Amino acid sequence: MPTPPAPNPNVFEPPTAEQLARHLARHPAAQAAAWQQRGPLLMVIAVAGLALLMIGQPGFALLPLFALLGLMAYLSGQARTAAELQQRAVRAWELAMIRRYREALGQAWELLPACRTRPELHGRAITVIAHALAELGRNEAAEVAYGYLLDRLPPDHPLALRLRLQQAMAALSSGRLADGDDILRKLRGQAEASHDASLTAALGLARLIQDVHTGHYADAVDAADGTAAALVPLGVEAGYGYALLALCFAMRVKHAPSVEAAQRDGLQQQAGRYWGKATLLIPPAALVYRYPELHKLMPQIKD
Amino acid sequence: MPKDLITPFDPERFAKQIALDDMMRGLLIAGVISAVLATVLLPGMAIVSGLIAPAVVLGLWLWLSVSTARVARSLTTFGELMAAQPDQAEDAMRQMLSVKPVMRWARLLSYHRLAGMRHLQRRFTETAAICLCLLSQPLKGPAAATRPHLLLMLAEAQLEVGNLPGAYHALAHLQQTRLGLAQSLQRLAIQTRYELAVGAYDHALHRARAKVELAELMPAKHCAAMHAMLATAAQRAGQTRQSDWLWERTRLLAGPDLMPQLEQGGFSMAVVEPDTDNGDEPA
Repeated sequence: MPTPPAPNPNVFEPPTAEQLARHLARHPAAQAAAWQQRGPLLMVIAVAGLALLMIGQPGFALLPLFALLGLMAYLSGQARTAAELQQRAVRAWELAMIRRYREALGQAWELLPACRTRPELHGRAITVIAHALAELGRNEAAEVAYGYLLDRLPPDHPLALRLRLQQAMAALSSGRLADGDDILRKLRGQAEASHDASLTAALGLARLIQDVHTGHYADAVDAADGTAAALVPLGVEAGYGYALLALCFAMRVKHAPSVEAAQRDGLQQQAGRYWGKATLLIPPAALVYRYPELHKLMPQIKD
Repeated sequence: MPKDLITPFDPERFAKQIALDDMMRGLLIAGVISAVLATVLLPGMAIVSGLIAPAVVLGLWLWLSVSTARVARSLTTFGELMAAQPDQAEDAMRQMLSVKPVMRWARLLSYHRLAGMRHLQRRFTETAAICLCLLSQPLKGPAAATRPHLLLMLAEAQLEVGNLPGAYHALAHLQQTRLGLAQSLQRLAIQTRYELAVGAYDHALHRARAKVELAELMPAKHCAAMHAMLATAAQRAGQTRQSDWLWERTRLLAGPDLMPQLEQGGFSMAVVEPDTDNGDEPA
């Protein structure tokens, strides 16, 4: 049997849930060290002390000016460091946007220790990690990242609802149906009351994933029109929803042999129609990569 | 929409404020130089060179820093305020613009936020005037990062008011400017709209497949508008198959609410959003 190729050292390997938990525990968001926070004050005290020692010396008069220049240099150095970290965070986010998830993950992973004292950037780096892991199908690790963020966000934060939805989707995709269902039940009222169409759309997609994983195809078929309309604000991502709807229609035919022939044809046609919509937006390979369940059923959907 | 908008942008007032800020900075530099010269030339007057001159310089610097810090604090919260409470944003902007003197970069950033607010309010003539004034200034320090965003707002505002040569100039400058991903997507949408407006359909369709892939990274509404623009260009260029495919995708992306507007050529989408983080923040 041929030996598997050695892992490419230039490609960032997505971490496991344990590795990520360890990384997050090692590099938590923290306040800057006391001496860093009080840097300018310490500098002023040092200069005042020096001035007292140098009274009557020739350099005494220039000391306050040097102190002023030192303070300005210190503050501009701090600003430069902040700008560099910001750039790195933007870069990681951009890589995730253009679907280079492994590179985005690698950048955000390395950024984390560097931005510990900047909670906003720290949070953004973990958001990129969570998103990239979910896209790469590492749902358990993604859940760890979502959980970490949610533990630290106020419950009424605008981002919290969205993150909880992502967490539910990751739980459902990794087969932890009870956890996913629990989160979704708690979220339902809040998401529907938020008047944010993209949130309602994400909830619609999460429910579809739930229906597929729990075999509630009939429920999904009954609500198909409303779900499809609600998916529109997802943009191209709505294609995943249409593919899952197609799967539900196809499975409804398969699991209900007592359905009349005419009705079967109707369901089959609907499956084909939704599959057509899905593949108009997203290539079939990408659909199957995200939801491997679609692979087993593709011949049925095509029929 | 807030009832009581602050007075329309006045380029002369802007120039006066900038001149005052520059004068203050000049005074500070002159103070430092005088203090050094006093130390060298008047070694006997230690009280003046060692105490009074540095105290004056420090006082000026603190005054400038404190007023700048006030503006900087307002700048960081202004984006959220503008989204949540537009009425209060007007008041906050009025206060921010009345603070003086401030460091030049803070003044420029305040006007950059004003341009963003006017863009959001669809007062495009004023947006264009503010952007043109800011772009004529040397943008240095933290204000340097706003240049691409100003050019994007300017290009879109010029398109909205029907000033196609103005839009062309802004787009030409954008071609020579390094942009982040979100800004590149905004430029693509504005440029395609410009090409449609001037009838350059072949240019709009150049590398259409790559443009569609980029459009997929845009927010849903903008993605739909981009598809509709490419579909219209293909239709007018006689590329029926491509046009049909693009319209089919547009129907899925736009939904029934937006579709009638797009079919009638309503591509005005305000793709450039107010920037709250100096220009390099993801949209």
